Amino acid sequence: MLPEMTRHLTDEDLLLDFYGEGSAPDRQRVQAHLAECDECRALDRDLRAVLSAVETTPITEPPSSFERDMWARIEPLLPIDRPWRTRWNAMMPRLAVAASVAILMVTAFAAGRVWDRPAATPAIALNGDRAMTERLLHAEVEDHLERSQRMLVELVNADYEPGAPMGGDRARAADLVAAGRLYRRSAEQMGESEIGGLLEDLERVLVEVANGPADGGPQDLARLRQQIDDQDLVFRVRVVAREMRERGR
Amino acid sequence: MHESDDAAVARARNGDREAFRLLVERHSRYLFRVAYRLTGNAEDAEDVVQDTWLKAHAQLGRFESRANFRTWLTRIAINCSIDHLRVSRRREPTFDPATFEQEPIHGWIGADAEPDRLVLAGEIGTRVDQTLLRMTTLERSAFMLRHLEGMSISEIGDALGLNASATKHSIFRAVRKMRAALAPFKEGVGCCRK
Repeated sequence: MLPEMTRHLTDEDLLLDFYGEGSAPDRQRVQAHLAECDECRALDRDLRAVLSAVETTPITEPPSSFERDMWARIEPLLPIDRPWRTRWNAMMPRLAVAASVAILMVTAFAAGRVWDRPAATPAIALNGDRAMTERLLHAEVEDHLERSQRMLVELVNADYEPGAPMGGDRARAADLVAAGRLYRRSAEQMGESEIGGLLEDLERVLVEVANGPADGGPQDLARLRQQIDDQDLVFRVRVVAREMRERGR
Repeated sequence: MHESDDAAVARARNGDREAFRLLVERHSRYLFRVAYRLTGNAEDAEDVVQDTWLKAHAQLGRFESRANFRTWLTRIAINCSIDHLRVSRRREPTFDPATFEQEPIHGWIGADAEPDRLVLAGEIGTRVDQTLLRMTTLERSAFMLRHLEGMSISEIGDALGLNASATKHSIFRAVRKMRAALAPFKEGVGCCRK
């Protein structure tokens, strides 16, 4: 018998052979050895049984609309010029929308206090108003969170560039801070304390960006990232935005 | 006509949103599978796919057209999965390997009646999942990409930033752990040569 034949195969030999990754001489050597050696054949069978057990572990397949849904999720987060959005922004600045929503919330809240006492019919109408204002708030907060998330993601992934302002755009951060404050007050008045809390945490980070030095150093960027990381801010923003989206369906 | 990834990437780099959309629609399902294997649940996997595309978009300018676009995406997806696991593990109870070792094994493959076999299959699936989570991210990534996605060791090395030898050894260690974990389920399975 050839000296090679006396050397038993290792797990590594068998694994590379199983995956077809061995060289041609290696494959020949493994096959020749398996033909002769009961012990290695048993080892090979065991290895294949284990690998086949892993293969049969089920995986959840996403729905058929997954690709379309994914595009719908990421498209608003991409920093690509979208003419329709640009035109809309020109006509209706975000801050104005936030202010309108806030006014609507305050009005609905005040109306609730004044009209809460009368009986059934007005209460139903009022509940309808409240539901409408809640939907409006959720839609606006979802949009706000998605824009904030985009800024956070940019911050977390940004490479430090000397001379570049943190987060790419301090004015954008300032707009988000102003709008976020209005949404936060509205949310708190509607009893949405979770949203209010998140908007408050978000505001602290955005304020840092908006008021930060025009040329923040790498240590400023690292500190900001740490702050985002410590509070799991990207994750929390994403979870609440998803809840808002699902409630709006 | 089927547009190649390279052509679509070239258009996307110039700000063509439809080209990027084409890439998203072409590769998202694959990325989901990779992310699912690494994170272990669908919701996290979806978030990882989203992060992967956002990062890919931001870094398109750095993609070298000599490289394979899917391999490049896979590398980003693995990094996003690692980030995601790091954050989510911080808020979940830590998995204690000691309790895993002491979990009872209720049977043997092929030795029981049909209902018991179903229970056993479920136990094996659970054990496989637990073992995958006990591996290091590198081991799990290398093993999953080789075993379930059919990538070659060379492609996996590119995706993980490892040389061929380190990639092989990550896979070997992963398989060794899997064999040890599944050994009690069947006489002979996972037993190692003394």
